[in-house]
Amino acid sequence: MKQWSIQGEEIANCNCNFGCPCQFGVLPSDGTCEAAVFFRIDKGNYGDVQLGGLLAAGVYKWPGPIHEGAGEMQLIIDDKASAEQRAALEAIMTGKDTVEMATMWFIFSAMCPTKHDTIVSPISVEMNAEDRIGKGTVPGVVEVNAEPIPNIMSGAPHRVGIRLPNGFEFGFAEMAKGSTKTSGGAIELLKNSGTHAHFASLHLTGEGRVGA
Amino acid sequence: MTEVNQTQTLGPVERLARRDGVIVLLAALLIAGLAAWYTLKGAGVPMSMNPVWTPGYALLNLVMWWVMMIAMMTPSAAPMLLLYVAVKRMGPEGHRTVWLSLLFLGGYLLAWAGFSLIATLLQWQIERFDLSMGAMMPITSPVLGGAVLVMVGVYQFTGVKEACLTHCRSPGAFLADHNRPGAAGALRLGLLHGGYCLGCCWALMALLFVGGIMNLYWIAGLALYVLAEKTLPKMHKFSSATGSLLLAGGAFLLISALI
Repeated sequence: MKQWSIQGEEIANCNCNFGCPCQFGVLPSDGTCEAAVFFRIDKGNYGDVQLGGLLAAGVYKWPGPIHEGAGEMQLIIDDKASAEQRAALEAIMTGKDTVEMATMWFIFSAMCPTKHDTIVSPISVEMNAEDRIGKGTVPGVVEVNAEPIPNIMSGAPHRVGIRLPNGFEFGFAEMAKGSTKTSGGAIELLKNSGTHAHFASLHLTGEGRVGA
Repeated sequence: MTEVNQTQTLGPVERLARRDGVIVLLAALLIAGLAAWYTLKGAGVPMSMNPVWTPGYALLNLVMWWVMMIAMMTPSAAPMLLLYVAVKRMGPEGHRTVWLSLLFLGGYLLAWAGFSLIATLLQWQIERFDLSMGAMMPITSPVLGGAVLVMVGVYQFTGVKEACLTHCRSPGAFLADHNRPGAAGALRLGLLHGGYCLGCCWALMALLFVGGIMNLYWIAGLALYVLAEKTLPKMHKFSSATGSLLLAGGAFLLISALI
């Protein structure tokens, strides 16, 4: 098992109600799970290959809750990545060189028997977790937008977070409201509009989340 | 703009790995099928009205119970088993997926062997005190039959039942919490899963004493009910409804016996 480590930020949007039932061991709001996630890697390595400064994204679609499997996924990797970096990110994000179920990437990958060809493309990600404002774009493939959850009375930004001390993805995440538009990729998401989104800092290795 | 990377096409190793799930599922089907066939045949237990409980006869009954449980419970274990296969084949023990998965199934069925042992002892006592219509036959005493129904009905409402059912219905969380590497880890996980499953279903299986231990309608009905309780959405209300029905039936039997 090759040693690897990734530190960075993520922005994710799915088709469920705010808060994402998965985090509480509850079934998805409408029974299915459809999501797009953008990653900004600030620091990281896969063996000797450095990964800091790279961007990546993933589009996922399950016909039921994630643990029932039968899903499809497509990864998108920064066109600035070298061939080695690309292979490294693809390995990590398909759960290779990872202890069983130690990262969300392992689980997503294990539950997606259909893995569409990885896209290599320019990616842009802007994230402000403090203000819960963010945008991730892969031109012609997928775009995620996130904004604060509005207070139901006043419409003012409503701040709420989820702490998962033993989480395999994050230890703390800021909740937001998000939407996803897919266009040219292999997977089409149609339900992600005004639904759950989150911002989180990641620190993962092949052994799992650091600090979990 | 976007360029497609073709390095992800399926290699021979990955294609073989994908067959793991099929192999394990076929093996489980074969085991359940053989068990069902043996149960249909009457499990080779001589159907005399007043059998003598020799050690040999007791062992035969134990095997009968276990085979019946294997036929009834293997389908309910299938979702968890397939999830286990999917996780194993991606991890560092991927090359041993089939073997570890079968060990997992073995552990699960061993837990039911424990149940079978207790059921056999109970059956012996029921037949010894002449409370049934004969070997493997329904309980004759309406008071005892009613009491069993009430007990099973009450159990449907208990926190233990709910906790076990929650575990059974969240295979992902169960696997994340209890998965351990190696053969011992696989067997242990199977035993644990079987333990939770037992916590869910032991009382329902006690209904076999009311309906007749080898009554195929009860066997098939219970197996289907257990599968539904475990896999259908919103089964929470269904469990309570079943509990209420059992309580009503048990109360009816008890009251009519006492009047």
